[in-house]
Amino acid sequence: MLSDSIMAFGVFFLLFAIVIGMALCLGLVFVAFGVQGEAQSIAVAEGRMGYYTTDEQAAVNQYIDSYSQQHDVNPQDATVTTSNPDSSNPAPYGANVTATLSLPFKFQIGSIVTLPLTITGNGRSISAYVPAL
Amino acid sequence: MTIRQLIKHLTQDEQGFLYIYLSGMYSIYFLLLLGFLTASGLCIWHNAVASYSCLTEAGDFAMHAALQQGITSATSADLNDVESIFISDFSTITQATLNGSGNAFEPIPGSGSPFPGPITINSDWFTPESTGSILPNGTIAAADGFWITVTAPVQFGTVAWSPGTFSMPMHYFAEL
Repeated sequence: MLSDSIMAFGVFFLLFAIVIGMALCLGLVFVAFGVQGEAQSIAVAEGRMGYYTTDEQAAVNQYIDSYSQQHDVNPQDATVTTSNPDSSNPAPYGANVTATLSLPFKFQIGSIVTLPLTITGNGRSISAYVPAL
Repeated sequence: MTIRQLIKHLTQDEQGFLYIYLSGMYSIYFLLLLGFLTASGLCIWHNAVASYSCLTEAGDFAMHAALQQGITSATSADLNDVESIFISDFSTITQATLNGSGNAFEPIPGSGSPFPGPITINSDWFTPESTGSILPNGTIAAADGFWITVTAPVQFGTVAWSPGTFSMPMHYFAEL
């Protein structure tokens, strides 16, 4: 009789643990897909103008700020790495451009267990930059 | 009560006890397996989305380049020109080269290619489609373009014990 009750509670505990774990992983998956899409959009904008423009930087900073407020992380920990970061060195027509966006993510249960992670997205595009005559 | 009597009692009079016990155990095994399969599927999906953007970007850029060269309609006469432009752009973005027999793009080792293995293509991988024709995926072409099909390998994950690669077809309709 005692083993029955222990087993029932154990099974319920394991089921709850699995369900909560899957729900937490679902949030991670949504963030990972969003970061990948944002990295790809940085690469597309970079490919259009040949370099990482200030307009795109402003848009990305806005994205990082709203992400940081939603997920309660420090926006200073986010990093953007691009193959052509400034206008002095634009990628020539037909060259490969890449962008990498890394954002922090707190994988947490309540306020005690916190597992900091970094989520990275890689974007690729081709430069369509033609120098002005 | 001896063990023999206990087993006899459980199997003949208390069958429900055994079934509840087994269902509890098997539901946990089932959920663990389901979680593992879901995680594997989402990893493949995420990596496939990242790899697929190589195809879409190369396709769009090749069509833009073809328009600049004066190719405005998707006909068999222009097929080889556009195909060579696309091969050049796809080789650039995937850091791979078309091999001698022309049936696969081999990634250059150590170049940071997003593809872990060769990207294979068929003989009819690059077909012209005119406006209004029905594409192989069932939609109607809104403009002239080319239907591109490649079979690309996708990584399960980026961890060291990754069990290998998963090969999947990727389609894209690049509009002129």
